[in-house]
Amino acid sequence: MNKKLIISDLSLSYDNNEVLTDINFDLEESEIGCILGPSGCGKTSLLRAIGGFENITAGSILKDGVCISNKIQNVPIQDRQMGMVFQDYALFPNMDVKSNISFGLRGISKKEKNSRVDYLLDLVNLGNYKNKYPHELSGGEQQRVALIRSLATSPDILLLDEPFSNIDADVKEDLVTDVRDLLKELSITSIIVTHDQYEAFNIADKVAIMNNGRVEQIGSAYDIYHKPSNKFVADFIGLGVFLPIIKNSNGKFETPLGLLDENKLGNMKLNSKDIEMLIRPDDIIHNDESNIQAIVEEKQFRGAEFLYKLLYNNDYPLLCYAPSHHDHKIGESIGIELEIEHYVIFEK
Amino acid sequence: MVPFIFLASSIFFPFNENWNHIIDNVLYDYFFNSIILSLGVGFFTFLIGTSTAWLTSIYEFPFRRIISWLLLMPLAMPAYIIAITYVGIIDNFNFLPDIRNLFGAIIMISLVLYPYVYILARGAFLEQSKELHENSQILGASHFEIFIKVSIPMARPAIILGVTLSAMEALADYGTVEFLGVPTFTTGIFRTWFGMNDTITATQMATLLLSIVFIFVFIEQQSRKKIRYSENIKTQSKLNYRITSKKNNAVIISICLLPLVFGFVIPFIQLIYWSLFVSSESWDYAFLNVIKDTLLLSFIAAFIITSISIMITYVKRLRSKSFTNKLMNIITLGYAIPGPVVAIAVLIPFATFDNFLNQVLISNFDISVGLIFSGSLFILIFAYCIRFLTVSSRTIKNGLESISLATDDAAKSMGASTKTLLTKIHFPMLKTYVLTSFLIVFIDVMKELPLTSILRPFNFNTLSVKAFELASDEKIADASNAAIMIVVAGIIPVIFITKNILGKRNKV
Repeated sequence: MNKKLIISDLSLSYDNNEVLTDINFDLEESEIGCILGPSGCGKTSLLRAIGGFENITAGSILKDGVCISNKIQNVPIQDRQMGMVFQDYALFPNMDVKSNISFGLRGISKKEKNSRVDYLLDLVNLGNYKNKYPHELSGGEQQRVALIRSLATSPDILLLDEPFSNIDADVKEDLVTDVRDLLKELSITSIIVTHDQYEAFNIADKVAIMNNGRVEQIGSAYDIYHKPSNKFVADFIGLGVFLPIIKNSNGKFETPLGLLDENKLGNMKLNSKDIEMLIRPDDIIHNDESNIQAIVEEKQFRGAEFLYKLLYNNDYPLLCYAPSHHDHKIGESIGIELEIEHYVIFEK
Repeated sequence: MVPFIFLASSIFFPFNENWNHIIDNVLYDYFFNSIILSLGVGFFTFLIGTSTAWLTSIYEFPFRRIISWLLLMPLAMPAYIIAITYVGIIDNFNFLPDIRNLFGAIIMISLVLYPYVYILARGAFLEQSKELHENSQILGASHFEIFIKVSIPMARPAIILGVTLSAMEALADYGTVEFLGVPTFTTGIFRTWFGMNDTITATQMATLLLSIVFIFVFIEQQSRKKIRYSENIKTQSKLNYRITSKKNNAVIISICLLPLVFGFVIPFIQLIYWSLFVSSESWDYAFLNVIKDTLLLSFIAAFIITSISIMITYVKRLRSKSFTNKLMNIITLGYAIPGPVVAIAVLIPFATFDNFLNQVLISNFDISVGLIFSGSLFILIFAYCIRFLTVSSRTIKNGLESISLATDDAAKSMGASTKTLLTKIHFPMLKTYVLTSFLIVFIDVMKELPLTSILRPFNFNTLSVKAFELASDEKIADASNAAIMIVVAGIIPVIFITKNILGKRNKV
């Protein structure tokens, strides 16, 4: 399959201050990509570069095999066939919902415009909102209007800049799923920028983790969580602690919780010094029978489960999820087992 | 720019013997009166403005809505007109204290300028959160304590802005102090310029006054920085109006009516009385001509100044480079510069240029074009630009800032050209602001006195100059027709602005 979008070796500077460095990223037709990173990592700049709002200083952006941005050339925003949903939605306050949506529709009859608007409003169940003004809508409704407004012109690629950041937590989860279903139904190639990893995991086929203007890792949500390629990604995504790995007198590698399984190490080559292993809360299983005991230091009730913060052997903090009927007091000793699927090992 | 470089260069001219006279006899008076006048006006506008703002933003009482916007009415009354009417009233009732002194001038100017403080302080009070007030109550503070310890300190940037604006207007005032016979810097400049015919000394005095003004501008700009900071705090819920006893209601209403009655009702009724029963001025052809000239001049000036404002604010939005920002800041300093100073700063260079031009033309082509710049409306409108561009461009800038940059991007991402962006998005959203700017300049030009009276061409007169001339000739009642027209015209923008801009923001 041909790539819909290819970004290669892209760099971007403002006044000699480099904000994006050597970015490589691509998307297949109708794939949903997500750029995830802490605030200030350059993710919005990347999105704006793709949209044509910023002139890149090196590298290139190809859409359907055609170059739309490089150092010399920058196809204007209007000619890129891209839609964009803005963080604050940027609905035109002086126009009603209908005029907002039909703003980008040109060169078609009034009747066609109306049926297009009706069709789009139906997609998001806002059929009765045609004549309302943006200030009469709730945040979620404004967001949906902004979304269909950007879809009105049938863009090749849809860009979404933190589209869910102003949505209340209780409706966000449903909305994220709805938006994903809609984008998939219409087969729109999309790129979403967010700082919220759960949002990213729910909506994206492919996630790029960014930090300090660079892409740290690209992969599926599962791979990024379980096989982070460096310490930044491991730290940024999900919860976890690091345990030191030492070479014992027999020349085997072990953590304070026991020996490493050589089969799982595969052909990983370990140095003997300064290495450590990522332990996610789901790698530690609570088992009252186990003879490995750790002391409960803190606990958080999360409905179905507790997140226990434990201290093992007076030195090593650990995190562990346990079903919420296993209610232990702070200071109590509880039994744990280590059950790791993939070893994730970094140098300190 | 050029006029002020010229002005600043005047200090390098030798100081002539008139300075001896000025320093020995009048400089101390000018200095003392100008400073006390602006400090006094600052104090009284603070007192009237914040107290009425507090009462109308905290308490629920009968007619609260109407009183809260009626309190803006004195804004329509130029200070020299209120001074003229009160002098007339006092002449009829001998037991009243004379206002033809410094204190009288302070009260007259404060009565019409307190709405600046009122409007800004009220906006700030209304933005203060309910939580904050409830929290203070839980901690045991009384209503008065909350006012003094919480509300005023939080509204401080807005209040300082209002007070400095009033103080600067007082410093720049010419008509009121001249009419009441209080010698200040502005009247001193006039006297030196036209009385002693000493342009250089007048220019040097103008430069001195300008440096005092810059101190005020500095204070005001510092407070503006903080305003931006405090506006960033979004409040969760608006304060509920507090209901109080009937006796308290009566007290609150009388306090609020006091500035309104003295600042607007009494003088306005007096003007109408004069106009109907005393004035010997008739609505003859000459008077209608003055009205025509005034409206024409105000219209042209408002149109040109608003257009320039739109242009410079757009340049600023499209390319927000620091150079254009700095240029804009310099261009828009004008509002702080007193009229007589502006008059000197533009008249002398233009007159010099005109003379030079005529000499060249006569010696080479034997034609004379006369004073094409300094003797025409051109110089007057140029001077208005210096003076009123600030108010106008700030209004437009506020409007443009309310349109987020994402809106521009959104329109572009949907394929809109710059023209579509301007006509379909920006103009509809800016309409109110453009009209507001137009109205403000229109009325300001109509009320303007010192610039107009110095720079107007021969056979050209405006209502404000006419009213002032008549009043100065002891024909106070005859000035009433012109004065009423100025006041009535001034009410229009007050209503428009409260309805369209403040109404939306604060739900008055």
